[in-house]
Amino acid sequence: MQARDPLEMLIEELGDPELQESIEKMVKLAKALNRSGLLDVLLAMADEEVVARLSSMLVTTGTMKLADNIEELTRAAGEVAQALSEPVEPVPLSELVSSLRDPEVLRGLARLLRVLKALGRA
Amino acid sequence: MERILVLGAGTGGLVAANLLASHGYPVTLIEKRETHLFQPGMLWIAFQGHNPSRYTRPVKELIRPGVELVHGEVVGIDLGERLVHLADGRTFTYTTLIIALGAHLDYDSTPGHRELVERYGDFYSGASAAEKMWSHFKELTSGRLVIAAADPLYKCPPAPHKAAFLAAYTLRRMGRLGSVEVHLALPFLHEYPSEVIARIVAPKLEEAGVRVSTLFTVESIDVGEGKIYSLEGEELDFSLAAVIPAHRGPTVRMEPGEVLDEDGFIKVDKYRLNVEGYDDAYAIGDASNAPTSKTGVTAHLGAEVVVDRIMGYDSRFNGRTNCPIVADGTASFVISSYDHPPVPVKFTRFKRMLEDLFIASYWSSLMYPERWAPIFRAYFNATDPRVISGGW
Repeated sequence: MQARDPLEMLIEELGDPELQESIEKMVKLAKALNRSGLLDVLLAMADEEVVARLSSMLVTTGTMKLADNIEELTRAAGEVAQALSEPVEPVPLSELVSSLRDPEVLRGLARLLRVLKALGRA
Repeated sequence: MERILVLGAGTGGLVAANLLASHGYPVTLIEKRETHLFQPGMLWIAFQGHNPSRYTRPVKELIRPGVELVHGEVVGIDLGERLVHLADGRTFTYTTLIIALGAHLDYDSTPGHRELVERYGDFYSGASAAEKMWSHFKELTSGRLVIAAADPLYKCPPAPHKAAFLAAYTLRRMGRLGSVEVHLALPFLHEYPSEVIARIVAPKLEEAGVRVSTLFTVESIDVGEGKIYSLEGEELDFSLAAVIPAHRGPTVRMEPGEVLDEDGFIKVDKYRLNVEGYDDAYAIGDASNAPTSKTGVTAHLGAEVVVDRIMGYDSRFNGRTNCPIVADGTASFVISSYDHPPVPVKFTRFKRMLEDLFIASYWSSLMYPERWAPIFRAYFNATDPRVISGGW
């Protein structure tokens, strides 16, 4: 069987209304990106050295660990945000001492100590 | 005149050939198959019913201008005379040789194995064998699916684990995990060769409902009776089974024969990847005896080192692995190198996303390895086992 001419295949494809609509949208997008100047930025960034510098800056041990724990971090941040939105009264010293019996406070303190240790290491 | 010959259009061969072409070297790539298979895809074909077309592409669509593709089967290599012989009688000469012929899957050293794979397929010997496995697996309503190995040395060490995870999740979705048992029989002391990884994988396997037997190396298979016997003296009944075959070096006549180890793998300098005793011939990926895991990542990284060396840089291969263990919605990686054992890497959703990105970039990274190199380098530096030795 003889292989089909790629140009013939392309012309046949172009008859597809879905493809025509997609191409129209792509052209609009390209024009919009060009007018905004974003295409120039993207073209300049598609340079091997820029990609290398960007990668070495963005893909680090720190960002990998951060992204890996993003769920825990956002959950903790959500809890903190919730706590911050609730009205509080100043806590007298006696209550502060008794709140140290609260297991959640103790766990929080243990975590805080770990964070302090990690900060000291960094 | 300079002529670089690359034997084999698997991951390592394609990366090497395309990379050399991008630097203007004349390259001839010899491959016997018309299509390239993304090998991990076989797991998804076999146990999740994916269409094989997602994981296969014609080799001729994966090479850059400047790479001359020759279809033919390599049957002999003469390192002294710098000759490569093909099955059809053609002979090629070279100034530099890169052997990337992969490993030979030996279905004949385990009695009953060939009959098993012919009847049920598997997830190692090709896309159509994986389709055959799926056609049996999807009909399995009761009994036991056994996933086992005939030898502790095989490519992609977490492949049986991934197979068990994927099979268990599919059965759960079908509501059959209670009536079908997924049984992972491993030829290791623990749930993984490395105890550090075993401690991470074991609870995940239990959570997925996978039964595990350790120290179970398949010795023979009775397909008619549905029984697998182990070297260690145990036996397992099965309704359906996939046994990973023993791996050997490529089946080519090699001159001199001393460059092959006892299993037929090509002996190389593990850092420079040149064939022992030869500066003009290299072996990368599964075909070599480099003491690291046989995976696409090691083949890719090895190809980069060899091309660097051909260009005159003193690049060294460090044996880095990055084998993904994919579970439902999460993944972990087996990260190690020559000078560092696997580090504890917990299963997370982010790592599953990373693995999805690696798979998505696969075809592009074969064709344009130099464009992906800085991104991969940043990732490998960030996750260097020495840097994340405490865990990730």
